[in-house]
Amino acid sequence: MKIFQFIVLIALGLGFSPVATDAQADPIADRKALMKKTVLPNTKLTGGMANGAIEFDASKAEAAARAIAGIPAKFVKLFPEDSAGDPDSSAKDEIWSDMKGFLKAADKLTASANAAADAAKAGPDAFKAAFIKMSESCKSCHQLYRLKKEE
Amino acid sequence: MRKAVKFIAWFVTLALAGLYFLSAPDPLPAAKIPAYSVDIKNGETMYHAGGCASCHAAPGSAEGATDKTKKCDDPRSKNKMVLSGGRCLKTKFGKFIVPNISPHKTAGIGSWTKLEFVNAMLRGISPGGQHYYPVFPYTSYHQMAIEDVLDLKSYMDTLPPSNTTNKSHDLEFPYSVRRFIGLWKWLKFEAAKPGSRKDIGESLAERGRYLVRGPGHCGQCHTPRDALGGLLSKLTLSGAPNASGKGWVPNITSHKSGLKAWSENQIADLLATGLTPEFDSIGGDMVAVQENMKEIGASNRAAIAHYLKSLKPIEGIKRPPGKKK
Repeated sequence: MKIFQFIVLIALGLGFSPVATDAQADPIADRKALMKKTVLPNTKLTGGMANGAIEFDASKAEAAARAIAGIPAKFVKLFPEDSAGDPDSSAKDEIWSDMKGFLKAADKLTASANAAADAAKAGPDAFKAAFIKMSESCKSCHQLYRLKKEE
Repeated sequence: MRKAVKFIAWFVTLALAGLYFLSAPDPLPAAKIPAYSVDIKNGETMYHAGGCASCHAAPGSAEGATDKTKKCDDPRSKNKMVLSGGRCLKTKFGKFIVPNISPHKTAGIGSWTKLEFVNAMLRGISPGGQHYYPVFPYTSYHQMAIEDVLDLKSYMDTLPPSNTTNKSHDLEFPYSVRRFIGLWKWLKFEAAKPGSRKDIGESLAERGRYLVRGPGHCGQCHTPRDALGGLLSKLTLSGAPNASGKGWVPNITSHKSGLKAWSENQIADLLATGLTPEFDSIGGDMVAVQENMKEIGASNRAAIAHYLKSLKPIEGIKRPPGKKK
Protein backbone atom coordinates (compact mmCIF):
# COMPACT_ATOMS: atom_id res chain seq x y z
CA MET A 1 0.00 0.00 0.00
CA LYS A 2 2.72 2.43 1.00
CA ILE A 3 4.61 1.62 -2.17
CA PHE A 4 1.52 2.30 -4.26
CA GLN A 5 1.06 5.71 -2.68
CA PHE A 6 4.72 6.43 -3.20
CA ILE A 7 4.45 5.66 -6.89
CA VAL A 8 1.38 7.84 -7.24
CA LEU A 9 3.17 10.70 -5.55
CA ILE A 10 6.19 10.32 -7.82
CA ALA A 11 3.93 10.24 -10.86
CA LEU A 12 2.13 13.39 -9.73
CA GLY A 13 5.47 15.01 -9.00
CA LEU A 14 6.69 14.28 -12.51
CA GLY A 15 3.48 15.49 -14.02
CA PHE A 16 3.76 18.83 -12.30
CA SER A 17 7.51 19.17 -12.66
CA PRO A 18 8.70 22.41 -14.27
CA VAL A 19 10.21 20.49 -17.21
CA ALA A 20 6.82 19.38 -18.45
CA THR A 21 4.85 22.53 -17.80
CA ASP A 22 7.42 25.10 -18.83
CA ALA A 23 6.77 27.60 -21.60
CA GLN A 24 7.85 25.25 -24.39
CA ALA A 25 5.10 22.71 -24.10
CA ASP A 26 4.61 22.86 -27.84
CA PRO A 27 7.30 24.96 -29.50
CA ILE A 28 6.10 23.93 -32.97
CA ALA A 29 2.61 25.35 -32.36
CA ASP A 30 4.12 28.43 -30.73
CA ARG A 31 6.45 29.23 -33.60
CA LYS A 32 3.70 28.66 -36.16
CA ALA A 33 1.48 31.04 -34.21
CA LEU A 34 4.15 33.74 -34.24
CA MET A 35 4.37 33.49 -38.02
CA LYS A 36 0.65 33.24 -38.69
CA LYS A 37 -0.68 35.64 -36.09
CA THR A 38 1.96 38.36 -36.04
CA VAL A 39 4.25 38.17 -39.05
CA LEU A 40 1.73 37.34 -41.76
CA PRO A 41 -0.98 39.95 -40.96
CA ASN A 42 1.64 42.65 -40.53
CA THR A 43 3.39 41.67 -43.76
CA LYS A 44 0.03 41.84 -45.50
CA LEU A 45 -0.54 45.33 -44.16
CA THR A 46 2.95 46.62 -44.95
CA GLY A 47 3.01 44.84 -48.31
CA GLY A 48 -0.39 46.27 -49.23
CA MET A 49 0.84 49.76 -48.40
CA ALA A 50 4.06 49.18 -50.32
CA ASN A 51 2.28 48.20 -53.52
CA GLY A 52 -0.51 50.74 -53.17
CA ALA A 53 -3.40 48.33 -52.51
CA ILE A 54 -3.83 49.81 -49.04
CA GLU A 55 -3.61 53.55 -48.41
CA PHE A 56 -0.27 54.48 -46.90
CA ASP A 57 -0.42 55.53 -43.25
CA ALA A 58 2.98 56.28 -41.75
CA SER A 59 2.14 55.45 -38.15
CA LYS A 60 0.34 52.20 -39.01
CA ALA A 61 3.16 51.18 -41.34
CA GLU A 62 5.73 51.89 -38.67
CA ALA A 63 3.83 49.97 -36.00
CA ALA A 64 3.38 46.95 -38.28
CA ALA A 65 7.04 46.85 -39.27
CA ARG A 66 8.06 47.25 -35.63
CA ALA A 67 5.81 44.33 -34.70
CA ILE A 68 7.59 42.16 -37.27
CA ALA A 69 10.97 43.30 -35.95
CA GLY A 70 10.01 42.05 -32.51
CA ILE A 71 9.40 38.48 -33.66
CA PRO A 72 12.79 36.96 -34.63
CA ALA A 73 14.25 37.13 -31.12
CA LYS A 74 11.29 35.13 -29.76
CA PHE A 75 11.02 32.91 -32.81
CA VAL A 76 14.56 31.52 -32.77
CA LYS A 77 14.11 30.32 -29.18
CA LEU A 78 11.35 27.95 -30.28
CA PHE A 79 13.63 25.43 -31.99
CA PRO A 80 14.81 23.06 -29.26
CA GLU A 81 16.78 20.02 -30.52
CA ASP A 82 13.91 17.64 -29.80
CA SER A 83 11.55 19.53 -32.11
CA ALA A 84 13.63 18.67 -35.20
CA GLY A 85 12.26 16.36 -37.87
CA ASP A 86 8.57 16.77 -37.03
CA PRO A 87 6.51 15.68 -40.05
CA ASP A 88 4.00 18.46 -39.47
CA SER A 89 6.58 21.23 -39.39
CA SER A 90 8.06 23.17 -42.29
CA ALA A 91 11.34 23.63 -40.45
CA LYS A 92 14.26 22.17 -42.39
CA ASP A 93 16.94 20.12 -40.67
CA GLU A 94 19.39 22.86 -41.66
CA ILE A 95 18.04 24.98 -38.81
CA TRP A 96 19.72 22.61 -36.38
CA SER A 97 22.74 21.71 -38.48
CA ASP A 98 23.41 25.39 -39.21
CA MET A 99 22.02 27.23 -36.18
CA LYS A 100 24.60 29.98 -36.65
CA GLY A 101 23.34 30.75 -40.14
CA PHE A 102 19.72 30.57 -38.96
CA LEU A 103 20.36 33.10 -36.19
CA LYS A 104 22.11 35.36 -38.67
CA ALA A 105 19.09 35.17 -41.00
CA ALA A 106 16.83 36.06 -38.06
CA ASP A 107 18.99 39.09 -37.24
CA LYS A 108 18.68 40.17 -40.85
CA LEU A 109 14.90 40.26 -40.52
CA THR A 110 15.06 42.23 -37.26
CA ALA A 111 17.34 44.80 -38.85
CA SER A 112 15.43 45.10 -42.12
CA ALA A 113 12.04 45.33 -40.36
CA ASN A 114 13.35 48.04 -38.06
CA ALA A 115 14.73 49.84 -41.10
CA ALA A 116 11.28 49.63 -42.72
CA ALA A 117 9.69 51.07 -39.58
CA ASP A 118 12.16 53.97 -39.65
CA ALA A 119 11.57 54.49 -43.36
CA ALA A 120 7.82 54.89 -42.82
CA LYS A 121 8.42 58.43 -41.51
CA ALA A 122 10.15 59.34 -44.77
CA GLY A 123 7.07 58.59 -46.86
CA PRO A 124 5.61 55.85 -49.05
CA ASP A 125 8.47 55.61 -51.57
CA ALA A 126 11.13 55.13 -48.93
CA PHE A 127 8.86 52.68 -47.17
CA LYS A 128 8.31 50.67 -50.33
CA ALA A 129 12.05 50.32 -50.92
CA ALA A 130 12.54 49.24 -47.31
CA PHE A 131 9.66 46.78 -47.54
CA ILE A 132 11.29 45.12 -50.55
CA LYS A 133 14.51 44.75 -48.58
CA MET A 134 12.60 43.24 -45.69
CA SER A 135 10.84 40.77 -47.97
CA GLU A 136 14.24 39.73 -49.36
CA SER A 137 15.24 38.73 -45.84
CA CYS A 138 12.05 36.62 -45.54
CA LYS A 139 12.93 34.92 -48.80
CA SER A 140 16.60 34.27 -48.13
CA CYS A 141 15.73 32.59 -44.83
CA HIS A 142 12.92 30.53 -46.36
CA GLN A 143 15.28 29.46 -49.15
CA LEU A 144 17.58 27.76 -46.68
CA TYR A 145 15.49 26.84 -43.67
CA ARG A 146 11.85 26.32 -44.65
CA LEU A 147 10.38 23.37 -46.47
CA LYS A 148 6.72 23.92 -47.16
CA LYS A 149 4.57 20.88 -46.58
CA GLU A 150 1.09 22.32 -46.74
CA GLU A 151 -0.75 24.84 -48.84
CA MET B 1 20.56 -29.38 -76.44
CA ARG B 2 23.53 -27.88 -78.26
CA LYS B 3 21.12 -26.36 -80.72
CA ALA B 4 19.27 -24.67 -77.91
CA VAL B 5 22.50 -23.25 -76.47
CA LYS B 6 23.48 -21.98 -79.88
CA PHE B 7 20.07 -20.41 -80.33
CA ILE B 8 20.23 -18.65 -76.98
CA ALA B 9 23.76 -17.41 -77.74
CA TRP B 10 22.58 -15.99 -81.05
CA PHE B 11 19.55 -14.46 -79.45
CA VAL B 12 21.59 -12.79 -76.70
CA THR B 13 24.13 -11.48 -79.22
CA LEU B 14 21.41 -10.04 -81.42
CA ALA B 15 19.65 -8.50 -78.43
CA LEU B 16 22.89 -6.88 -77.24
CA ALA B 17 23.62 -5.62 -80.75
CA GLY B 18 20.09 -4.22 -80.88
CA LEU B 19 20.47 -2.49 -77.53
CA TYR B 20 23.85 -1.13 -78.58
CA PHE B 21 22.28 0.26 -81.71
CA LEU B 22 19.30 1.71 -79.85
CA SER B 23 21.51 3.38 -77.27
CA ALA B 24 23.67 5.17 -79.85
CA PRO B 25 23.66 8.97 -79.71
CA ASP B 26 21.76 10.69 -82.49
CA PRO B 27 23.25 14.17 -82.92
CA LEU B 28 22.01 16.86 -85.24
CA PRO B 29 24.12 17.38 -88.39
CA ALA B 30 25.91 20.66 -89.03
CA ALA B 31 23.43 21.46 -91.81
CA LYS B 32 20.77 22.12 -89.15
CA ILE B 33 22.59 25.22 -87.89
CA PRO B 34 21.11 28.14 -89.79
CA ALA B 35 23.06 31.15 -90.98
CA TYR B 36 21.99 33.61 -88.33
CA SER B 37 23.43 36.71 -86.72
CA VAL B 38 23.16 36.35 -82.97
CA ASP B 39 21.37 38.66 -80.53
CA ILE B 40 23.35 38.74 -77.28
CA LYS B 41 20.61 40.60 -75.42
CA ASN B 42 18.11 37.85 -76.20
CA GLY B 43 20.81 35.38 -75.17
CA GLU B 44 20.88 37.04 -71.77
CA THR B 45 17.10 36.64 -71.43
CA MET B 46 17.44 32.97 -72.38
CA TYR B 47 20.23 32.59 -69.83
CA HIS B 48 17.91 33.73 -67.05
CA ALA B 49 14.83 31.96 -68.41
CA GLY B 50 16.87 28.75 -68.64
CA GLY B 51 18.12 29.10 -65.08
CA CYS B 52 21.68 28.12 -66.07
CA ALA B 53 23.22 29.77 -63.01
CA SER B 54 20.95 28.00 -60.52
CA CYS B 55 22.84 24.78 -61.13
CA HIS B 56 26.10 25.79 -62.79
CA ALA B 57 27.20 28.71 -60.57
CA ALA B 58 29.31 27.61 -57.61
CA PRO B 59 27.18 26.88 -54.51
CA GLY B 60 27.47 29.20 -51.54
CA SER B 61 26.67 32.72 -50.64
CA ALA B 62 27.84 35.97 -52.13
CA GLU B 63 27.74 37.35 -48.59
CA GLY B 64 30.26 34.86 -47.28
CA ALA B 65 30.74 32.58 -44.38
CA THR B 66 28.25 30.53 -42.47
CA ASP B 67 28.62 26.80 -41.99
CA LYS B 68 26.11 26.31 -44.74
CA THR B 69 28.32 27.88 -47.39
CA LYS B 70 30.71 24.97 -47.24
CA LYS B 71 28.06 22.58 -48.51
CA CYS B 72 27.91 21.58 -52.14
CA ASP B 73 24.09 21.64 -52.11
CA ASP B 74 23.68 25.17 -50.78
CA PRO B 75 20.73 26.49 -52.83
CA ARG B 76 22.35 29.90 -53.15
CA SER B 77 25.00 30.88 -55.69
CA LYS B 78 28.29 32.61 -55.07
CA ASN B 79 28.22 34.54 -58.34
CA LYS B 80 25.51 33.95 -60.92
CA MET B 81 27.73 35.06 -63.77
CA VAL B 82 30.56 32.57 -63.12
CA LEU B 83 29.49 29.10 -64.19
CA SER B 84 32.34 27.20 -62.60
CA GLY B 85 30.20 24.23 -61.54
CA GLY B 86 30.77 22.17 -58.40
CA ARG B 87 27.21 22.11 -57.09
CA CYS B 88 26.01 18.64 -56.12
CA LEU B 89 22.53 17.33 -56.80
CA LYS B 90 21.63 14.46 -54.53
CA THR B 91 19.04 12.20 -56.15
CA LYS B 92 17.90 8.62 -55.70
CA PHE B 93 20.21 7.65 -58.58
CA GLY B 94 23.27 9.03 -56.81
CA LYS B 95 25.10 12.31 -56.52
CA PHE B 96 25.59 14.43 -59.61
CA ILE B 97 28.31 17.07 -59.64
CA VAL B 98 27.44 19.94 -61.96
CA PRO B 99 30.20 20.73 -64.52
CA ASN B 100 31.96 23.97 -65.42
CA ILE B 101 30.22 25.60 -68.41
CA SER B 102 32.03 28.91 -68.23
CA PRO B 103 33.75 29.98 -71.47
CA HIS B 104 37.17 28.77 -70.24
CA LYS B 105 38.88 27.04 -73.17
CA THR B 106 39.89 23.86 -71.35
CA ALA B 107 38.09 23.74 -67.98
CA GLY B 108 34.80 25.02 -69.40
CA ILE B 109 33.05 24.98 -72.77
CA GLY B 110 34.83 27.91 -74.40
CA SER B 111 36.18 25.80 -77.23
CA TRP B 112 32.82 24.33 -78.24
CA THR B 113 31.44 24.96 -81.68
CA LYS B 114 27.87 26.16 -82.23
CA LEU B 115 26.93 22.67 -83.38
CA GLU B 116 28.37 21.09 -80.24
CA PHE B 117 26.47 23.53 -78.04
CA VAL B 118 23.23 22.94 -79.93
CA ASN B 119 23.61 19.17 -79.65
CA ALA B 120 24.15 19.47 -75.90
CA MET B 121 21.05 21.62 -75.44
CA LEU B 122 18.65 19.97 -77.88
CA ARG B 123 19.85 16.34 -77.91
CA GLY B 124 21.69 15.87 -74.63
CA ILE B 125 24.88 14.79 -76.37
CA SER B 126 28.40 15.94 -75.49
CA PRO B 127 31.01 17.03 -78.06
CA GLY B 128 32.70 13.65 -77.46
CA GLY B 129 29.49 11.90 -78.52
CA GLN B 130 28.42 10.77 -75.05
CA HIS B 131 24.94 11.02 -73.58
CA TYR B 132 24.28 13.53 -70.84
CA TYR B 133 22.28 12.48 -67.82
CA PRO B 134 18.80 13.99 -68.02
CA VAL B 135 19.49 15.78 -64.75
CA PHE B 136 20.68 18.36 -67.26
CA PRO B 137 17.21 19.40 -68.43
CA TYR B 138 17.60 18.87 -72.17
CA THR B 139 14.31 17.01 -71.98
CA SER B 140 12.87 20.55 -71.76
CA TYR B 141 15.52 22.52 -73.64
CA HIS B 142 15.02 20.37 -76.74
CA GLN B 143 11.84 22.41 -77.34
CA MET B 144 13.83 25.62 -77.65
CA ALA B 145 14.16 27.48 -80.92
CA ILE B 146 17.57 26.97 -82.43
CA GLU B 147 18.10 30.77 -82.71
CA ASP B 148 17.51 31.14 -78.97
CA VAL B 149 20.11 28.44 -78.30
CA LEU B 150 22.62 30.23 -80.52
CA ASP B 151 21.86 33.54 -78.79
CA LEU B 152 22.36 31.85 -75.45
CA LYS B 153 25.79 30.61 -76.49
CA SER B 154 26.76 34.07 -77.70
CA TYR B 155 25.82 35.52 -74.29
CA MET B 156 27.55 32.77 -72.32
CA ASP B 157 30.72 33.41 -74.34
CA THR B 158 30.81 36.91 -72.79
CA LEU B 159 30.79 35.63 -69.17
CA PRO B 160 33.94 35.32 -67.05
CA PRO B 161 35.92 32.07 -67.58
CA SER B 162 36.63 29.86 -64.58
CA ASN B 163 39.45 27.31 -64.41
CA THR B 164 37.69 25.05 -61.89
CA THR B 165 38.19 21.38 -62.83
CA ASN B 166 35.15 19.14 -63.20
CA LYS B 167 34.53 16.33 -60.74
CA SER B 168 32.99 12.96 -61.58
CA HIS B 169 29.46 12.08 -60.63
CA ASP B 170 29.05 9.57 -57.83
CA LEU B 171 26.39 7.16 -59.10
CA GLU B 172 25.33 3.61 -58.39
CA PHE B 173 25.47 0.92 -61.07
CA PRO B 174 23.67 0.75 -63.55
CA TYR B 175 23.19 4.54 -63.56
CA SER B 176 26.95 4.95 -63.72
CA VAL B 177 27.04 3.61 -67.31
CA ARG B 178 26.43 6.50 -69.68
CA ARG B 179 25.63 4.31 -72.63
CA PHE B 180 22.51 3.14 -70.81
CA ILE B 181 21.20 6.70 -71.01
CA GLY B 182 20.77 5.96 -74.70
CA LEU B 183 18.22 3.29 -73.81
CA TRP B 184 16.58 5.66 -71.38
CA LYS B 185 16.29 8.23 -74.14
CA TRP B 186 14.81 5.60 -76.43
CA LEU B 187 12.16 4.84 -73.80
CA LYS B 188 11.51 8.25 -72.30
CA PHE B 189 12.67 11.02 -74.59
CA GLU B 190 11.59 11.96 -78.04
CA ALA B 191 13.75 14.85 -79.21
CA ALA B 192 11.70 17.55 -80.87
CA LYS B 193 12.50 18.44 -84.44
CA PRO B 194 14.81 21.42 -84.19
CA GLY B 195 12.39 24.32 -84.19
CA SER B 196 12.87 27.83 -85.43
CA ARG B 197 11.59 30.92 -83.64
CA LYS B 198 9.01 31.46 -86.34
CA ASP B 199 7.44 28.06 -85.50
CA ILE B 200 6.59 29.11 -81.98
CA GLY B 201 4.04 31.83 -82.54
CA GLU B 202 3.77 35.26 -81.02
CA SER B 203 0.59 35.24 -78.96
CA LEU B 204 0.88 35.57 -75.21
CA ALA B 205 -0.24 31.96 -74.74
CA GLU B 206 2.27 30.62 -77.26
CA ARG B 207 5.09 32.64 -75.77
CA GLY B 208 4.15 31.45 -72.28
CA ARG B 209 3.91 27.85 -73.37
CA TYR B 210 7.33 28.09 -74.96
CA LEU B 211 8.94 29.65 -71.89
CA VAL B 212 7.35 27.17 -69.47
CA ARG B 213 8.03 24.02 -71.48
CA GLY B 214 11.28 24.97 -73.18
CA PRO B 215 13.87 27.20 -71.55
CA GLY B 216 12.04 27.62 -68.23
CA HIS B 217 11.88 23.81 -67.74
CA CYS B 218 9.20 24.24 -65.04
CA GLY B 219 8.09 20.63 -65.41
CA GLN B 220 11.46 19.29 -64.31
CA CYS B 221 10.36 20.00 -60.74
CA HIS B 222 6.58 20.56 -60.96
CA THR B 223 5.78 17.40 -62.97
CA PRO B 224 6.00 14.01 -61.23
CA ARG B 225 8.20 11.24 -62.60
CA ASP B 226 7.88 7.50 -63.07
CA ALA B 227 10.24 4.95 -61.52
CA LEU B 228 12.78 5.48 -64.29
CA GLY B 229 12.77 9.24 -63.87
CA GLY B 230 10.66 9.89 -66.96
CA LEU B 231 8.22 12.80 -66.70
CA LEU B 232 4.57 11.72 -66.43
CA SER B 233 3.16 13.87 -69.20
CA LYS B 234 -0.48 13.35 -68.21
CA LEU B 235 0.31 14.96 -64.87
CA THR B 236 2.26 17.86 -66.33
CA LEU B 237 2.83 20.64 -63.77
CA SER B 238 0.41 19.12 -61.25
CA GLY B 239 2.98 18.97 -58.43
CA ALA B 240 5.53 16.36 -57.42
CA PRO B 241 7.69 15.20 -54.57
CA ASN B 242 10.95 17.12 -54.42
CA ALA B 243 13.47 14.99 -56.37
CA SER B 244 16.48 16.28 -54.47
CA GLY B 245 15.27 16.11 -50.91
CA LYS B 246 12.23 16.27 -48.69
CA GLY B 247 9.09 18.23 -49.32
CA TRP B 248 6.64 18.80 -52.13
CA VAL B 249 6.74 20.96 -55.23
CA PRO B 250 3.30 22.56 -55.70
CA ASN B 251 0.67 22.08 -58.35
CA ILE B 252 0.78 25.00 -60.80
CA THR B 253 -2.14 24.00 -63.03
CA SER B 254 -5.46 25.79 -62.52
CA HIS B 255 -6.64 23.07 -60.12
CA LYS B 256 -7.96 24.18 -56.73
CA SER B 257 -4.85 22.78 -55.07
CA GLY B 258 -2.86 24.82 -57.59
CA LEU B 259 -3.34 28.26 -59.07
CA LYS B 260 -7.14 28.32 -59.33
CA ALA B 261 -7.53 31.23 -56.92
CA TRP B 262 -4.62 33.17 -58.42
CA SER B 263 -4.95 35.93 -61.01
CA GLU B 264 -2.47 36.24 -63.86
CA ASN B 265 -1.12 39.39 -62.24
CA GLN B 266 -0.56 37.61 -58.97
CA ILE B 267 1.44 34.86 -60.68
CA ALA B 268 3.50 37.41 -62.60
CA ASP B 269 4.07 39.33 -59.35
CA LEU B 270 5.31 36.21 -57.61
CA LEU B 271 7.83 35.68 -60.39
CA ALA B 272 8.93 39.32 -60.07
CA THR B 273 9.04 39.65 -56.29
CA GLY B 274 9.01 36.20 -54.69
CA LEU B 275 5.89 37.10 -52.72
CA THR B 276 2.52 35.37 -52.79
CA PRO B 277 -0.71 37.40 -52.89
CA GLU B 278 -0.77 37.02 -49.10
CA PHE B 279 2.75 38.46 -48.93
CA ASP B 280 4.16 35.17 -47.74
CA SER B 281 7.54 34.62 -49.35
CA ILE B 282 8.49 31.68 -51.51
CA GLY B 283 11.20 29.35 -50.27
CA GLY B 284 13.48 26.48 -51.21
CA ASP B 285 14.64 25.99 -54.78
CA MET B 286 11.95 28.34 -56.11
CA VAL B 287 13.95 31.27 -54.75
CA ALA B 288 16.74 30.70 -57.28
CA VAL B 289 14.14 30.25 -60.04
CA GLN B 290 12.37 33.48 -59.10
CA GLU B 291 15.63 35.41 -59.00
CA ASN B 292 16.15 34.37 -62.62
CA MET B 293 12.56 35.14 -63.61
CA LYS B 294 12.99 38.62 -62.18
CA GLU B 295 15.46 39.24 -65.02
CA ILE B 296 13.39 38.12 -68.03
CA GLY B 297 11.16 41.18 -68.38
CA ALA B 298 7.53 41.87 -67.47
CA SER B 299 6.12 40.71 -70.82
CA ASN B 300 7.72 37.28 -70.49
CA ARG B 301 6.48 36.91 -66.91
CA ALA B 302 2.99 37.91 -68.04
CA ALA B 303 3.18 35.28 -70.80
CA ILE B 304 4.13 32.56 -68.30
CA ALA B 305 1.28 33.61 -65.98
CA HIS B 306 -1.17 33.62 -68.86
CA TYR B 307 -0.13 30.16 -70.02
CA LEU B 308 -0.28 28.64 -66.55
CA LYS B 309 -3.79 29.99 -66.02
CA SER B 310 -4.82 28.47 -69.35
CA LEU B 311 -3.82 24.96 -68.25
CA LYS B 312 -6.55 22.43 -67.55
CA PRO B 313 -6.90 21.71 -63.85
CA ILE B 314 -5.11 18.46 -62.96
CA GLU B 315 -5.50 17.04 -59.50
CA GLY B 316 -2.02 15.51 -59.37
CA ILE B 317 -0.75 12.68 -57.23
CA LYS B 318 -1.61 12.63 -53.56
CA ARG B 319 0.83 14.05 -51.09
CA PRO B 320 1.83 11.78 -48.26
CA PRO B 321 -0.33 12.76 -45.27
CA GLY B 322 1.23 15.06 -42.70
CA LYS B 323 0.75 14.51 -38.99
CA LYS B 324 -2.76 15.54 -37.94
CA LYS B 325 -3.14 17.55 -34.81
